[in-house]
Amino acid sequence: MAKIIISLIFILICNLEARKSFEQACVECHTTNVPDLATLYFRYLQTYGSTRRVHDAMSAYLSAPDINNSILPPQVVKGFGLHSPISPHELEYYLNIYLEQYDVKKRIKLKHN
Amino acid sequence: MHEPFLKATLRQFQLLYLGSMGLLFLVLAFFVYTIEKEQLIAKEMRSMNTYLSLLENQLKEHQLHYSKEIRIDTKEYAIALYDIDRIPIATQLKEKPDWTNTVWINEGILYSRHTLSAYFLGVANVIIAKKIDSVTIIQHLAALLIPLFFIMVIVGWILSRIAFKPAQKAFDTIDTFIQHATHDLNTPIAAILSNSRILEEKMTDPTLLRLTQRIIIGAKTLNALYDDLVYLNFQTKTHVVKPEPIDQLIQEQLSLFDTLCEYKKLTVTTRLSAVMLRVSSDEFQRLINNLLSNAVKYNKSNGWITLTLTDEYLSIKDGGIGLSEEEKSKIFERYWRVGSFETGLGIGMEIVVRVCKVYGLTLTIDSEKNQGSEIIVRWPKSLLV
Repeated sequence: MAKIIISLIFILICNLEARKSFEQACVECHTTNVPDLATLYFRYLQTYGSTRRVHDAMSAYLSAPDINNSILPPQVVKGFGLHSPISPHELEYYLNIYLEQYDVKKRIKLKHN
Repeated sequence: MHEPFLKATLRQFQLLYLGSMGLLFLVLAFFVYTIEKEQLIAKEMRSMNTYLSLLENQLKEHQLHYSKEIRIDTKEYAIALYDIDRIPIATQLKEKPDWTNTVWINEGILYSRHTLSAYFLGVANVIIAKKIDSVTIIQHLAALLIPLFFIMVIVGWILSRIAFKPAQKAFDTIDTFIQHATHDLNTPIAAILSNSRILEEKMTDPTLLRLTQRIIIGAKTLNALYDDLVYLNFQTKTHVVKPEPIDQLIQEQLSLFDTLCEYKKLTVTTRLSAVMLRVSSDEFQRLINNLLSNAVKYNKSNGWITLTLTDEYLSIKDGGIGLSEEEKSKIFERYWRVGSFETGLGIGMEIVVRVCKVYGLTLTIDSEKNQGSEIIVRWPKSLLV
């Protein structure tokens, strides 16, 4: 029983740490200087049409940022500047947290009038 | 006399008419149902397209004003939202979609698949479903076809009456003719029979005697036909039911055939118990006469007939030409005769069946081609005295 409680506490701490790390690595900057994360997510989703394709498109851009593979118009990219490249390991880690946070599947509720 | 025939033909005509009308109505109902269903589907499709525009606006609004819970109003429909990879985002449908069709019906539910141009909230494909209200179509159909069917039934009934009026008239004329002819036949037949019997008694020349016997046979046959026609044509005549000695009736009827039996050299054996039945002698005479007539007519030269009478049944067995299976099935048809070599109108068995029905008698025919026949008439115990 004690082992289970300890394991749960450990997972919770890890999760909080991951969130904290995601907040520091992504949210802080995307709240103030550059387009916010929600706007970016829905822009990607509206353009690519599925979470898997959004994941692939974001991975492609963030692993090798380029004005030509950015979802934003060139003049906007020029204004904000290109994103710095992220290592594959970090990218996968933060991207999974990000996509899960905004996942529409968990939010849409279909209701009869 | 022809009333049952006419009624049967009229009934057959009406059945045929109703059958064909029913078939026509079924085909008509099928087409009307198909057209109405297509119209209903088209109407539902228009409603679904209107709802789709509304849904797109809802998705757009929710994307612009993003919140933690996105509530989509599905109105009267059940919907399913899929992304571009056909992965479900949210669904109210239990069944998997048919990705090969844009519109399909399954178990009375209309499904319509739409691909969106803008993927708001990542929704690229929408399936809208609604139960098709077939009951309304059937109600429409019934309201249209049931009164029409009744009108057609009445029209058919009137038409059949009009169509059969000339036939009824023709049959009435024939019946009247037969009734008149039957009346007029009685006196000359009786005269021929009585005079030829006197002649037979006084005749000494064997050749002339033989010729006289032939006249008697002919006259007796005519007399039997006369009796049959009277029985069939004058149904209104009251038959007095009282205890009758059946063995004596048989002997009487047998005596009518003695000349013919002698002429055909038939051996007649009788095993008759004294049996009293509560019946009409007229009707039982016709029954026995017709059965005996067949046993004599369809016998072979030097043949035999055995008559057995018990408390339970009368058996008339002969070693005559017999009947095939096909002939046995036709024996009760009016005007049908075995071959065409014997005289008669083919109404004898009809009279037999009619008498059997009146008294609840059962008729059994056991016959083999070229071997002979046995006809057994059984009566209920209630007739026994």
